[in-house]
Amino acid sequence: MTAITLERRDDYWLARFLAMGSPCELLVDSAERALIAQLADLAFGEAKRIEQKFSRYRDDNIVHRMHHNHGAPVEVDEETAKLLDYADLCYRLSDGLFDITSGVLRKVWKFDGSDHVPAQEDIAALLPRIGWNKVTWSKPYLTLPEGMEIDFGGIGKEYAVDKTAQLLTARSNVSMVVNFGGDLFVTGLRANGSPWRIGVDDPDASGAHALAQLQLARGGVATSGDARRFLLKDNIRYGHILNPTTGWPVRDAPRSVTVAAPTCVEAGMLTTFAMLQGKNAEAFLKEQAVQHWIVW
Amino acid sequence: MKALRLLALVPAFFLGACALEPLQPWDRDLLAQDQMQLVPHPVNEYISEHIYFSKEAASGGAGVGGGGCGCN
Amino acid sequence: MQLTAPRRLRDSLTVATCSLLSLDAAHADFFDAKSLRNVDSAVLVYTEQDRVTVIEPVVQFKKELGDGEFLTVKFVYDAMSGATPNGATPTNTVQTFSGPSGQNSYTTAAHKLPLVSFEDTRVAVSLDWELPMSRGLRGQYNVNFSRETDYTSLGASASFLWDVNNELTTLTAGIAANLDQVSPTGGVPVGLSALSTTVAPENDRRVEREEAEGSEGGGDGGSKTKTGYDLLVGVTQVLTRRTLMQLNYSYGKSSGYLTDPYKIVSVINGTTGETLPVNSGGYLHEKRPDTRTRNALYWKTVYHLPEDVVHVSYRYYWDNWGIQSNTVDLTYRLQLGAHDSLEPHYRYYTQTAADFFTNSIVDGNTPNYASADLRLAALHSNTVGLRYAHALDSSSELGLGVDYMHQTGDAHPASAIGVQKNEALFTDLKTMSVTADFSMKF
Repeated sequence: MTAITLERRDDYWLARFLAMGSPCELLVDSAERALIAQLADLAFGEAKRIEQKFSRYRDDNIVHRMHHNHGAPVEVDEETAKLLDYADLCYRLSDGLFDITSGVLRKVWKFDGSDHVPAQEDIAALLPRIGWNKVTWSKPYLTLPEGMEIDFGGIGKEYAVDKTAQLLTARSNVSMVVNFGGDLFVTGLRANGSPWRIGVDDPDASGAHALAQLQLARGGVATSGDARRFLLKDNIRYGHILNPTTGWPVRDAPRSVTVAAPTCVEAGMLTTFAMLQGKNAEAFLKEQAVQHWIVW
Repeated sequence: MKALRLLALVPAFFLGACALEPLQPWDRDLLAQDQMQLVPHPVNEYISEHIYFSKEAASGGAGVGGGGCGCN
Repeated sequence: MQLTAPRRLRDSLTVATCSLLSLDAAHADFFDAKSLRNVDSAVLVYTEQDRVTVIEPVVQFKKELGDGEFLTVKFVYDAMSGATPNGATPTNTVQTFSGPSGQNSYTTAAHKLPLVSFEDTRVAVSLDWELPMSRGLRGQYNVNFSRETDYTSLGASASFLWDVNNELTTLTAGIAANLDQVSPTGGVPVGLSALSTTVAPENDRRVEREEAEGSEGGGDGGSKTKTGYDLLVGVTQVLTRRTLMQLNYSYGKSSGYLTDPYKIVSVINGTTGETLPVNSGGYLHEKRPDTRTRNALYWKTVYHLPEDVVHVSYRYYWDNWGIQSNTVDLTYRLQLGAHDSLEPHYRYYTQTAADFFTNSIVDGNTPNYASADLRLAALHSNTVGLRYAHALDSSSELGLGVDYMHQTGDAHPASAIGVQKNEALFTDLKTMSVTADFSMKF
């Protein structure tokens, strides 16, 4: 049994596999099965590599070492260093709202559509373990205080999309779409000169109804927000984007934000920033002058 | 009346269609092509319909409105 | 986050992303919806054998204003000239008629279909606004205006399209209204009044116009109005990945002046079949009812073969003038390589005659309504055509099409009397259209 399925569509090949907890797709504008098999293997390999490297559930990767060094500095590799630099910039650009140390909040917040909103004391108990400002990042050494965690979940998938696209375009110059669970990158115009048509999903009817259609020749699209991951209590809807300084979900956040940008990472970060803006999400994205779709 | 009999056939046909498997997003690739649109060349269609309108008694069917002329 | 220095955030982000991904620069190419602009244009050169010639350029611009919101503007210019049947039947003698303004009398040889020459230009403009209203529901609003020397038309319509069933089904409902004004050269003749060849036609017409005001009411003597509304309901259904179908029912009603002010009907001797002399009332102005209700059932299927596409449609039409009509239209798009296509086209059309259609009126037997306009006669036509299209690049296309239509009716109906039996009471119409078109997305 193979992890990758290949399907021939009318004028392109589609490879599908599971990685990073999402259904992943690779669309290749070619009729050659051998080529897509090769490219799909590469894509699967790169997606799994990144998944395993930054997973917090493994005991053999950099993330595990970071979490179990008891406050002593850890030397990180080049790739991890770049990600930490990026996270650091995003922390500053967002005035602290984007924080890769906020992952510990998952211990009390389970967004399963129920009304189990955690108690303030439980949230407050975690706040001392959150704060990028408490971390010492002096390339290539990361010093993480005891009890704190690094969570690359907020960038990981989009990063994997862009890295995979880079790897595949180095191998072949056919036009492709790398789509990991709705975060995607289009590498170029198709052979017949036409762009790929991307549907922007309506979260209320996933797959059934498109909010808009984008014709993309090259670039990334990312979506933040998930209509299914929320809590509802006393008529208040709690979205799953958490404010790391309070430990509570961002108030009045949109249910879904989709952005199109030159890279998937940039698109993803802009959706996250927009969600963090709460009710000002629309104004924020308008001022950044990016193509966007918001569902409230 | 003949027209009513024709009309009765229609709901059965379309109901049958609803029982078909729902199309996946990638199955809509052909439908998105220009040549699969109900009116692929709107300007050519306008010209043809204008000619037929001015030479025949029947008109309409595909849409409403459009525009009048003294040609019929 | 600072919203006061907005672009700087994104600039920093872009630079940082390039650094993260080791890119020299990041750029995106969107043919995104906001910059979608479309121009569609075509020029028609239309000729009828021995009759009318039309040159008609049409150009249409479409622009997306926002997500799913479109504005479309269309301009049409029609230059028409030539000769058109005046309604009189051919007979065994020479026929002389006065022109619409009384002057310019013209003569038709014996056994020939009487034609009157004319020349006119028409300008039309139309504006469409499409916008999404709520999830799955779209509205399309249209206003249109056209003007020619003797005819002005103003119309508006609203259509609503509702996508349901996983976007596989679209329900459509539309309503349209129009207000037209007919201002014939020489004024509006009284229906079924006799044509006269007396010179000083303005006086004549003035008398007739005053009569018209009294008896038919409305209008300013020199012009008449016609109003109408149309309703449409329809379903469009995606059946399979390759198949799309549409079914529509439409209803329309027109009221007001529906007569052709230039057309006449020959009055014949009930025994010999000869047309009476003009001074004995040989020709009457036609008269049609002042209301008309129309119905149409329209069914269209689009089917995608491995490379080619087929469009086939059928329309059944019926109205309260007694006309029933069937139309079958078939186009096969043959894909030739990546850039070229060939579309052979065939259309078959039939109609029954209007209740008040008559080739001629028997002297002494004038009905309430009568028209000899052959377009209201029982007829059928075949159209064959071919269009060749070449895609210049992924966003523009050039096309050239030729269509040939042959319309035939009953030249020797049972109702022909006397000398009429030797005449062709229906003259076939043969037309040729050449259309060159160009469209571009930019």
